[in-house]
Amino acid sequence: MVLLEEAAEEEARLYEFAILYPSSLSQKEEQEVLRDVTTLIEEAGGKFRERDVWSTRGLAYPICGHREGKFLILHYTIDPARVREVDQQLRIMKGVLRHLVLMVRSAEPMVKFSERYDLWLKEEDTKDRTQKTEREEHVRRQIADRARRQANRPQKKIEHTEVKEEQITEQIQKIITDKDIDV
Amino acid sequence: MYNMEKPYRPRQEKKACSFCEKNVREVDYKDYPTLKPHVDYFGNIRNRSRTGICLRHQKMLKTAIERARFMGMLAYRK
Repeated sequence: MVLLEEAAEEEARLYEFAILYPSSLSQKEEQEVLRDVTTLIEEAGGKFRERDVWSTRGLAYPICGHREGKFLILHYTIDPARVREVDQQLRIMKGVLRHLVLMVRSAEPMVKFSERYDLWLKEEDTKDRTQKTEREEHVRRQIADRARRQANRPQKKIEHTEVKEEQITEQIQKIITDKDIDV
Repeated sequence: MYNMEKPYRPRQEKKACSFCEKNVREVDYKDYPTLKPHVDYFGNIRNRSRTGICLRHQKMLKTAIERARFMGMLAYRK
């Protein structure tokens, strides 16, 4: 029975802390925010596991007037009874716009999504560019083919018949003298 | 009499769940490239009949998208 009590006291689970702070802070303020957060978690008995800092990212909607933000993701092992303190302090902390505390269930190493997101952005850029160039080339080819076809087509000869003045006057006289037509 | 015959339309093939093929155990809210195709232009989560996802993964997707919306990675409404 003693062993069980001991085990319950020293329990520490792996938690993930995701924090969003504005990107328009100066370097000093940014470092202050990061320091405050790490000291807060360590004071609550957290042991550092992993850390992932993301570059500035556009937010889908303005949060507290900011349209761009930076994410910070930390993995710490903490006693579950002390996590609530950390959560409460993070709500009040200056510089922190949003925070999320989650339990990490899988034992696999953390996937660094910052790198993945950058790669994905680059791929999308190249995709757009290649699509545009393909479309331009297709249009150019079409124009070239059309020009070639027109050049190869045998041109129709239009026959010009010379009309004399006398013939025209004859025709006009006929129309004037004709009784059935009203002129 | 008007024509009673309906035009023959072959049944659309059921798509396989893209998460089940990769044996995905967890859908992460930080994974924007995987979440984006399952959200429509206005920010709504797409229907399971359209994307072909199984129920288990759709529920995981839903929690992931809601977390991402809270953190500002996805829009609640465009």
